[in-house]
Amino acid sequence: MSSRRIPTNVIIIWIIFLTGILSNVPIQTAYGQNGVLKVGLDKDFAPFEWGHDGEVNGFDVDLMNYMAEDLNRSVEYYPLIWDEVLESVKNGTIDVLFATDTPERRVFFDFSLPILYSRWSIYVKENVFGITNILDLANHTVAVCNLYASHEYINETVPGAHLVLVNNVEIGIEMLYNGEVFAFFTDYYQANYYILQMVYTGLKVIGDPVIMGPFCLGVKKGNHELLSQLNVSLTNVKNSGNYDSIYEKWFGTEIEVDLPYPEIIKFFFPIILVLICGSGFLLLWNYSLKKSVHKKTQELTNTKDLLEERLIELKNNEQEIKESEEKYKKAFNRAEFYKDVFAHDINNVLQSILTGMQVSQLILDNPEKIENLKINAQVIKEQVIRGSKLVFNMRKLSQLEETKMKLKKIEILKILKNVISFVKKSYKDKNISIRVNSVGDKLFIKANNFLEDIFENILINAVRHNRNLIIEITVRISREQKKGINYLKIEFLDNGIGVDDTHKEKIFKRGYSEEKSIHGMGLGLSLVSGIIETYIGKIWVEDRVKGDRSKGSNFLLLIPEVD
Amino acid sequence: MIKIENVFIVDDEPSIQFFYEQVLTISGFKVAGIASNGIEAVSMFNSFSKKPKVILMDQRMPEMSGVEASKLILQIDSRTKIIFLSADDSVKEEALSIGAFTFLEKTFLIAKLIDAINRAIESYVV
Repeated sequence: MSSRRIPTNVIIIWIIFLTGILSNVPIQTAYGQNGVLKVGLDKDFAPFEWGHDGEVNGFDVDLMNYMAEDLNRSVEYYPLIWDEVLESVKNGTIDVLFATDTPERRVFFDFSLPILYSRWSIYVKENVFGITNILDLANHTVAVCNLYASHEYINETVPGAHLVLVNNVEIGIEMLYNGEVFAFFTDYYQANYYILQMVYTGLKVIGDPVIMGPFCLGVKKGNHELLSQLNVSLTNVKNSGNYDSIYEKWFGTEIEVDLPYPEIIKFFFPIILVLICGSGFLLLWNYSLKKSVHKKTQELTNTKDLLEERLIELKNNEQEIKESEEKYKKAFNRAEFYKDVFAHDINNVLQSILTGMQVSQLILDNPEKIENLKINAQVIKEQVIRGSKLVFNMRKLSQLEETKMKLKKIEILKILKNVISFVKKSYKDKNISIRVNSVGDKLFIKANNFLEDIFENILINAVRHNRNLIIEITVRISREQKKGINYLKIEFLDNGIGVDDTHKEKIFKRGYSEEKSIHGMGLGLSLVSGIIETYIGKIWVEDRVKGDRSKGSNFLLLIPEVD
Repeated sequence: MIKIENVFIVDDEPSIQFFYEQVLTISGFKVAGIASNGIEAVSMFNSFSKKPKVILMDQRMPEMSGVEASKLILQIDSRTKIIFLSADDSVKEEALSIGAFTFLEKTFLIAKLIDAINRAIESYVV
């Protein structure tokens, strides 16, 4: 074994060997028919091997007995001092020894398969912690067997350790047990054996062991036959279970190596436990939160969907309300418009008729003015017609908004001439000049009987809103093409008072505007505008002389021409 | 009572002008003039050398309304008695507040008009 003493005085030992070995009586403990196997033993190397008073004992002896039985050979044991054993095997006087396989020894010996692995371990009291390997023994008091290889190893490896040299393992264990040293660095198997024998308690192995090498059977270099037999036998013994029972007998069960940082573990254990519990709790909480978030997300998604539905519903409702509001606003404006027409235009008509009737009655009492009766009757008749027309127009205006009227091909010049004649008759007291300049004699558009109302309204306005002694109106009819459509452009140019720029659009929207200041312009233009729209036409007003309102107006109509 | 006072007619409706003129003539008044809108009325009133005591004023007319024209006329001669004859009674308060003599809502009988003219003349401060 590597933990044996170093052979320091080879010559002396050699002399002793020469004089002693042959005088030693071998101890035969096993018998067999395949010849005798001579086994050298260290006479003082418990628990592996030792011999006193004609007896040999130890782990190696028990193992060899089983192997010899397996090999069917007798065994003779030679308990010698260790160096004698080595020399005896070298020179062939002894067949086998037990030793650690080292490169140095391989020069002289061949080694079998490992029996076990030699190792040095650190022994401490069980209340010692924090030693992970031999280097941690620096500054500690460490017992070590004097002149053993372990002594040399620790001396070189841990120079800072305070070494206490002891003569053998038993003393080292005792010192450790008594608390005289902090640790004992020694052979694992020897220490275990003594602890087992002495029933020491409260000791333990700590830190990493130092593995020395495989503990084997050694034969003289080149004795392959024997080595081969030994390997087979060793394997057989191990497989039979006998090896284990021998091992337990001598070394007991394995002493567990203490964990290197138990204090740290002890210190951190509650924290780790708390962390583990905390993590578990967090995981559970996280899971619960995830579940909750998922549930809430689902709820929110549902709510969002619901809100979107409601929003669409509200938007639809809003649209409906808007449309309804627009509809009612239009209806309100229309009602206001009709009310206005009745309150003003119809009342004026009625006032004319009423006054005319009463004046006529007065004339009957005043015969000198009897000639006026005829005129009065005519004016009253016109007013009745006017009133009737007003009502008719209102009804038609209402229809314009609700239905599309049927159109037919109409020649416009004929209609225009009739209207001019009517206007001139209506304003007999005024000096009216109406001229027509037309691009053709017969011009057709798609229209209806309202065309007459259009012309009449425009012309009457031109007469009424004129302060000149001679009212001059020119109707100019030309052709114009816009966006591929052929239009007839009908212009009514007058020398009247003109239309203010701010009213140029509003005058076509009477009754549909809240503007009061343009009242008095008559029902006509709003009706005209509505009718023109049904002809797919357009009406607007410009200054007759651009930029000078005082020179009169130009009412323009664009109506598609038909052949 | 000798009815020789001048009355000024302001109305944009030709048939009304025509009948008012006859009523006034038959009733013994003189027609000082006829205007068809507010601007024309102010202009004519301003040009009269002998200002008419009474004006028959319509409210709704092109260019300038009866109320606007009355304000200007009363600035020229605050003694002028303006009788509003209108189908639009919404301006009655405003017309009276600016100094109109009375407000007759269309439709009315001639007798009522003559009565109003007479009362206006009587109240006129020379």
